[in-house]
Amino acid sequence: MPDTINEIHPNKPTQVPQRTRMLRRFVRHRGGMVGLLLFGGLLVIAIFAQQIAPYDPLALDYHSTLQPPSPAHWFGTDDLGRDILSRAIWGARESLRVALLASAIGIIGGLVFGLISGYLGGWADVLIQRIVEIMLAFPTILLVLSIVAALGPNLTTILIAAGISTIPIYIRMIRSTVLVEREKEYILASVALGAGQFGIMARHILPNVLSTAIIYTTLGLGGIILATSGLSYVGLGAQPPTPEWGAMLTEGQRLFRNAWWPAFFPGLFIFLAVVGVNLLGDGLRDLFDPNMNV
Amino acid sequence: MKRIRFTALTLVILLLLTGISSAQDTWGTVVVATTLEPDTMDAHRTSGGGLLRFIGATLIAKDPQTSAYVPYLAESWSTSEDGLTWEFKLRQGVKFHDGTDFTAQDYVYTFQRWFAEDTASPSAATYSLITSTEAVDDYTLQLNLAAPFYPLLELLTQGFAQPLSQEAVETAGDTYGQQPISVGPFRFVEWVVGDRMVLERNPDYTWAPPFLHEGAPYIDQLVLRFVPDYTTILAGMETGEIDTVLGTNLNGRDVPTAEAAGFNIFTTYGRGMAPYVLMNVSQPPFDDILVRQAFNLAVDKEAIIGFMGGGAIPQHGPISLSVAGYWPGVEDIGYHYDLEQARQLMQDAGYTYNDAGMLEKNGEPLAMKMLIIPDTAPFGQILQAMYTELGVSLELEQSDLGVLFGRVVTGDYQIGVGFYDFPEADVMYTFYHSSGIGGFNISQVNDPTLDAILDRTRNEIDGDARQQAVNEAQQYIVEQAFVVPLITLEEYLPVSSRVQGAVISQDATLWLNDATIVEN
Repeated sequence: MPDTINEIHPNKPTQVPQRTRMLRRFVRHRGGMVGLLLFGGLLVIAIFAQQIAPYDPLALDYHSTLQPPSPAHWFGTDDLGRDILSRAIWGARESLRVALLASAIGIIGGLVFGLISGYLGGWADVLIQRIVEIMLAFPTILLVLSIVAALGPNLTTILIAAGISTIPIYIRMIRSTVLVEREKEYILASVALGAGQFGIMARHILPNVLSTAIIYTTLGLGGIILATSGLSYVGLGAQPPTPEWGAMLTEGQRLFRNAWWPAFFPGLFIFLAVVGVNLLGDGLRDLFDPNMNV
Repeated sequence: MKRIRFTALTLVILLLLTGISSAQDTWGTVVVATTLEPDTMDAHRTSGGGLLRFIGATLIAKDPQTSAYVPYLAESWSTSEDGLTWEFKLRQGVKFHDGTDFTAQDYVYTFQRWFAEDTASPSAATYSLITSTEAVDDYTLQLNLAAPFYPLLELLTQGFAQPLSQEAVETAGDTYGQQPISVGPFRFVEWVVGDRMVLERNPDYTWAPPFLHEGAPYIDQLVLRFVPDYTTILAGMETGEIDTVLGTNLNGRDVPTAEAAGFNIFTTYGRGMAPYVLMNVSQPPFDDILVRQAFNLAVDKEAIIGFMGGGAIPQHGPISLSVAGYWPGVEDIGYHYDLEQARQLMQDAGYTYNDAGMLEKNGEPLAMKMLIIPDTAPFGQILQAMYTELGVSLELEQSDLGVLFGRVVTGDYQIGVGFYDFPEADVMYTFYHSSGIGGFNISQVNDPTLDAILDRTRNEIDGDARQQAVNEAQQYIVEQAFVVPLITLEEYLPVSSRVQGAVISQDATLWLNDATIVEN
């Protein structure tokens, strides 16, 4: 009797799937779209670096050192004659790979321990939270420096160090979401039906905290891009001649008084990447935040 | 401002007539910037003696123009027939900064403290052929040597070899390095660690080496600013806060900027080699002379200079042309870029090229890590590209100087980019004599033939015979390819045009005794 229903609720719009509605709302979110385009664009560049980059990022050429931007070299060349555009494009691969993997370490660690801590409570919660407090008491930079000192300076170390240093923050966020979720009636119902603790965590709570996790990861990504670039900048990350934005910035800084382009373009890419993920994160948050529902 | 170029035997002294006439009415402060803050000002405990010469003085000095050894604290000297005893007649009326008189006894004390085990002086080993010192009378000092030691006079001009006052050292105890006392043209005032050291003119300095005016410096104060960041130094030069830069080479690209900011640029060639490739010859693959020769032939030195936009000359031997004792013959017998021959030598050494064009032996690729520091990173990347052409899979490993030094001293490396600064051919003894293994013989060379030649470079007292030994050492090291010489950099010493009368020697030693300030 669909007709009757329409008569009873004459103003109800035609039923549109929730997913489509959210997508539409996201497309209308200007900041989110700009972020998606920026970040998505950089991801595409990173994936297809091989095809897009006009030159070999490592090829030296002493006939064209420190050339200003020109049609042949859009972003100019550095003091070793390498094409900066090509290096920035390959740098996108290095920088984004590190940032995404580090975020993955952070959020997976955060999800596992956050779920256990928040749902199980008791001694597991006390233990995990005390460890989290100890880790949070360390300045992040000190934590990262200790890991780099132990494992040696390279991008993999930075990736692990940046990932581990964000775990406690994610644990706190996930745990608070789990605490809210755990008190809801559907969980009570599952318990009443005899579902096991880990089954409930994996099947019912995890999907409901996942959206929060995605938003926080996206928002945290900008910080991680900055942190990894920063560590490479001070020489603890990417080793020469790896084209990584932070490392390129250091090399460019040495030349800055004679040539602005070797430092400017990697800096611009770092800026665009961070602005991109932050806008994207804002968009996603607005989208999933129930308070924003109209 | 015109750029003034030094050639091997010319020197430019900026003692302009205006400088002399305004000397008496313009006192002031000269600010010297450096990226390298000394670890201590204790002449015996420091690892770098560059700033010591401002507060101290040495037995003899080196004439900036002729490079001849001239009287400074010693008015004259003589040596015995066998070259084992040296006698120095000391200047009278010299006072330490604390007012006590300087006598031969002070030098006896100084040498005793220098060589004492608990002083743990890093520079003492270089002077180890001096077995004892005696004060014949108050103003006659005698040095006794274990063997004839040709480089003695050169080594006695180094800032390390200045006299210390026993009273001052013992009063200050462990803090002596923070409040040094000597006899030089400037007195220590204060040291703000991480920022600056202030020195003032020493009115009791009524003497000087013959190439300077006799008497205390004209300027009141000398401020040494410690600025770790090179670009900050440049900015300081542009704003006029910095008058000159020591121990930190100005980048050739920044010379026009400095000239535009009113600096006179003195160009010299570095007193050593920077950079060069050092190899651990005690281990594969560099225990094989063919591999070492191939690594020499695979380097295109002209290309390296091309990357730098000039400002350097190629080197072919273990010491560069700016080092006293250089043998030009290395230019003929040295290795000149020839990639094909280098590839052939690698194959003669038992390596084969795989399909990717890379070298391997018994199925193992030839892979290695090259040690670099941030300063040598650009050269490391150029060398990496050149050795990749040869077929070597070479990775760069960057660390700071302390870490790098620890690794090369213990031989815990295969290949690296090194640099050194030393004015005399005796540096070959330091770097390649087997007695230096575990110390400065970082290439881990242990070759009795070379040891015998190097012993002669120290023990021959006859100048010609000594030079002959020095030439042989250079020839042998090149033939054995114990090192991959690269280039020697031009060094640019900027001096602000408000400072007149600064005297700069061809080895870039700066004397400020005659300097005056001319406000524009």
